Amino acid sequence: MTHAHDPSVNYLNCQKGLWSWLGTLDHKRIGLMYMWSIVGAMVVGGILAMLIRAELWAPNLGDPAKALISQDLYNQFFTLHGAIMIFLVIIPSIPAALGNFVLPMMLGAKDVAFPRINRLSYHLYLTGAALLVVSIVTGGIDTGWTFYAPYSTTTETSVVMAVFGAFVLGFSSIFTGLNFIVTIHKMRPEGMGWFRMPLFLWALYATSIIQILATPVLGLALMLIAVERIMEVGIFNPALGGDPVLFQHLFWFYSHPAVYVMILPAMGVLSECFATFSRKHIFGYRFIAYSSIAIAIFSFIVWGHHMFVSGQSQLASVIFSALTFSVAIPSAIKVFNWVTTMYKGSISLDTPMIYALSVIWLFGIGGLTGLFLATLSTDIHLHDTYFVVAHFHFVMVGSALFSFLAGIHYWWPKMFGVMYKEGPARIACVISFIGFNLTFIPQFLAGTQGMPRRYWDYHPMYQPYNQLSTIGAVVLGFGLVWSLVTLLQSLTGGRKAPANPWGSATLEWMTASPPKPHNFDFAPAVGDPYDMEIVRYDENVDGYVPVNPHPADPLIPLVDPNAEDAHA
Amino acid sequence: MAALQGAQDGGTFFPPQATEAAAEHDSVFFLIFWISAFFFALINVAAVYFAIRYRRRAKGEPVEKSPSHNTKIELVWTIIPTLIVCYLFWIGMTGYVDRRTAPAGAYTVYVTGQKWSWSFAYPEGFVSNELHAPVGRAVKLVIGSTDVLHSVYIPAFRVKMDAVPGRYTEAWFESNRPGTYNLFCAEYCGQQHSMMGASVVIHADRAGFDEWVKEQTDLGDLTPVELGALLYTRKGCNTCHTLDGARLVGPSFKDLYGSPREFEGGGTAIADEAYLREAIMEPTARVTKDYSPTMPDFKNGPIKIEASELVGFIEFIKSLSADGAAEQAQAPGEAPEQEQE
Ligand code: HEC
Ligand SMILES: [Cu+2]
Ligand SMILES: [Cu+2]
Repeated sequence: MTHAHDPSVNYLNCQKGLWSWLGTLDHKRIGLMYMWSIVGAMVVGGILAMLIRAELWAPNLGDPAKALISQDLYNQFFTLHGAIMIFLVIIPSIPAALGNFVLPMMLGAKDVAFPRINRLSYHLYLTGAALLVVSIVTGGIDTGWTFYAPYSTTTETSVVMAVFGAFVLGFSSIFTGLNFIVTIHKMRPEGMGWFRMPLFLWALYATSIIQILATPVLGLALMLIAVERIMEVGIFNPALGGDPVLFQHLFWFYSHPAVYVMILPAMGVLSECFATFSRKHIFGYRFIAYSSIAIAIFSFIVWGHHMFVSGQSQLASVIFSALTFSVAIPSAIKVFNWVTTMYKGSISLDTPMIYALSVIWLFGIGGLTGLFLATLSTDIHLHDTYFVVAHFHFVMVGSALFSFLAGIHYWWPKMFGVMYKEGPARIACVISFIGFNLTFIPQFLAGTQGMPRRYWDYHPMYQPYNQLSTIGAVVLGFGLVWSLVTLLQSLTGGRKAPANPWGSATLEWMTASPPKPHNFDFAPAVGDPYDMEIVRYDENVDGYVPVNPHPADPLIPLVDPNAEDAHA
Repeated sequence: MAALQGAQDGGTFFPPQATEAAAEHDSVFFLIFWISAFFFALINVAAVYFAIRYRRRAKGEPVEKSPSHNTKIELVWTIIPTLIVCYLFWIGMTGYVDRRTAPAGAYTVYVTGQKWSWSFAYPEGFVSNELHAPVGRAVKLVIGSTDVLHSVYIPAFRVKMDAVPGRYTEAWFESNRPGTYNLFCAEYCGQQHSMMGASVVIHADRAGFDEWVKEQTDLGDLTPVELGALLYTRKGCNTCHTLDGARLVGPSFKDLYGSPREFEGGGTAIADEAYLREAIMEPTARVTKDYSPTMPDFKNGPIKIEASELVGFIEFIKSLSADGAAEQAQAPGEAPEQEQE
């Protein structure tokens, strides 16, 4: 690199032009492109959510003339809302956007193991998104994001195009997972044994295992739908000799683990936040690390809990219920460890930490309401009602999306070299938090009272819950827009960020903000990623600096890679 | 929605408990609820307390060293939740097996879901669009579907079971509370999914139920128009056709008779008796313009229309238009007299 020692050159300004982005091999640029694409998709999915909530403001009493949105359109809206939010937003959010940006730097590496495949992942993401758009303009999809057969194989909407889009998106996800696994295996720096990896890497590693093992099954199931539709081969439709329950097995074999593709990386972000903002070694490192792997493994053997009233045999349901409860334990372990990490810390309530604390609340509700659904007898009543809708929004939005926001606020200074305004960013978090609870807590009650999901019209007795929910959605939307505006404002007028504003001990903070194109000039040796004592606060930079700087680069701490961990 | 009942007086969380199973379900629910509330309070109170108690007072303040792991604590908070979930699994399982296994000798009703209505076939040999049963009698539902997935869901009984095309599923209940309850479709099935409801009527005693069964089986002394009006709701035409001119899934019956019809793909006709016969028995033969061919097959489907019933429908539809009513009034002979009977 000719600019290697020019401190004003960084990965953002080293090259210009559209192709320097779209054609880049730099993991940081790819991460950012993912992030902006995800934000764009989220705006679309969010507008759809608002339209759905607007329609549900009042019951139509069976009269289409009273409705804001026709039934057909409503069915397309909730299908698209689900498909966009899951395939284009939550699944790629933390792994593809934040993971891409952070993972190589956490390893002190220049890039991921296969930068070209990484670029391909992003291009596949764009292609998959484009195919979804094509399916919308060529007739839409009205199957629900679950594509249940035989509805999906008989409806007249543009299902083949949509499943093809999801298929392509699946490959994007598989390639990202593959890349991360190889990178973590092969590119760890000197001193970084498995148990010196930051917990975010453990989380990404566990996520990647799920991505590469489960996603192909979704691809398979979706292709079979296309085959049944195009060639009229009876796979799922009993009218042709198929079995609709088979589709549910194949679908959930992927889609339950997919929930952990969403939540595991979120847990990784939280582990980083709790340690950093408490300025303490994470509590129970090994338990958190192992619990990520445990969750990844268990996630493969619980899919039948979506099918307790599907006609699946009683024995199968009993076994799946038992296995499902096993996932509760590693999740609980993580939460206990995070809270204990705060004990006797020096806790700073910066924006990422406020998001992280919100997730303790939101994941508490999301996780614990899962107990009602794993318990066989209560699931009979709650299945396919708004209780389930509320439960999975608490997990996928309340926990995964809020953690994504925690991560964005946490790594923002590193990404763009600027600090956002703390005051407005915190207020945005609090507004979103209040809005979220107002949106989804009433839905639990609508569900226990018996309101089924995917209803365009409902019994008037459910109106109060729906109205609270709609008001909450407006507040939530307002909070999210506010946080986006606050972040964007920092890009033009934000205070310049120090290399390590929060005092973290992991490697991505040991390089300039924003990083130079190749991250590090040499591969740094590392020790314990949660030994906060290797950095100290320096008022001159309003940030943290190594206590023992490396002679070749003052941002990198000098550590003895062979030293024992403080707490193994 | 055809099957809307008035607001049902339950508690904050649940609709009324109309079966013993519902009471048992709710007690399991609240057990989990209080266990969850305890753990939820524990972690959130601890998190907020620590955030305040150990808040950073000055940037760069020294941090007191504290242990970063403790195997005993880890084991405690692994084992206690494990024991709790084992217990939850157990009570959930026993409740579930009970609620899926109907007692021997239960009264069997065959339930068929189709886009977008329910039909209930009774062992006495008639079909209705309502589910009736007396208090204190175990009722087994044998559930099927003719098209896509649906799901029988009766919140007041805490009962739910999918209707799966190509196989039969089962559910059962025994109500201990007379009244009328909602049955919803809980599995997404397309356009009218949210309208696919039915009423569940629990009679206070056996006599009331028998009375109802008798009414259903004995249609002899109705005029054709009255018969048509009765069958209009009983066979579920009302889920798609109104009587007041409003458009639902299908065109309204008001002023249909005698009016000119246009069809998808061209062609026109006047809606006379022959046309109505064809429209009802072979709805896909000619599909009315601007509508989709979603009308169920009443010839071979689960709900059938007999020749005698067809006359009722045609006369009923006639009575809803000025021309038709005039014709009926003028008709020589028995027709007007019959109406007075
Ligand atoms: C699931 C909805 C649905 C149900 C239930 C249903 N129909 Fe229909 N019906 C339609 C639709 C849609 C059309 C218009 C398309 C067509 O002609 O097939 C229609 C058309 C008709 C027509 C012709 C109207 C015209 O425009 O010429 C008649 C008559 C009719 N239905 C009678 C009945 C009767 C009688 C029943 C009950 C036994 C019934 N329908 C139940 C959906 C339904
Ligand atoms: Cu699941
Ligand atoms: Cu339905």
